[in-house]
Amino acid sequence: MLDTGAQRAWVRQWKEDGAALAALRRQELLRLSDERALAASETLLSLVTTVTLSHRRRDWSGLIEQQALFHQRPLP
Amino acid sequence: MNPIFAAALEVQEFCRARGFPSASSAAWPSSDGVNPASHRTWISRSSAPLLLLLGRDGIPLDVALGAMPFEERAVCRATPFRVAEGASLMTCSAEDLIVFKAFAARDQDWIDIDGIILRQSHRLDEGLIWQELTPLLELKEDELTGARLRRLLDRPTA
Repeated sequence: MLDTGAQRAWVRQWKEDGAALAALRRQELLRLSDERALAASETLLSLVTTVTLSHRRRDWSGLIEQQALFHQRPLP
Repeated sequence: MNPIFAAALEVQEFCRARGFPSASSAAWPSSDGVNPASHRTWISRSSAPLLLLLGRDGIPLDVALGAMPFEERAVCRATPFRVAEGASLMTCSAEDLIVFKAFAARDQDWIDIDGIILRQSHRLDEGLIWQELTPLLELKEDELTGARLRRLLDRPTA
């Protein structure tokens, strides 16, 4: 079991790692070519056939929230 | 081609083949005419009805028959984006996508906006974003989103 000091050090390290990873992600996004971005999208979106549509998704869409906001009415 | 792009192309070709105008005044056909996609739900309680379809591979396709002037202008500004050899999808501009997402302002929308700004920073027409977004935020009585977007747009990208 870690003592309080070690736990604080662990959390501090975790925060620093998070910031470093976020910076890395930004740099990768910046440098990504359009061709590689499209190829990555293709790979990711090809996995979709293995995902079963949830019951909720059958009659719900983010567009419902968006249109409710556009027309200033409560969600159905 | 992945099933999502394929489903989107299917709908695009369906509309093109029938000469549907790409503005929000387009009338949607009866269920018989929506082959090969099938209905999930038809939500018509709003002034801008939504049609939730299921594509050939079980891909959910969400269609909003937009009625807001901004939506019509976004459709007019849409351009073809090449997704595969010989296949292009009409997509909204990066500026309009930021407006749509900033207006919705959910957690994932802000992550997406951050990515769009990173990828498009030097090409973005910020004037257009504010011209479209400001009146929408006023309608929504939202005083926070503009400042949050301003911070992201002002952040150095390099």
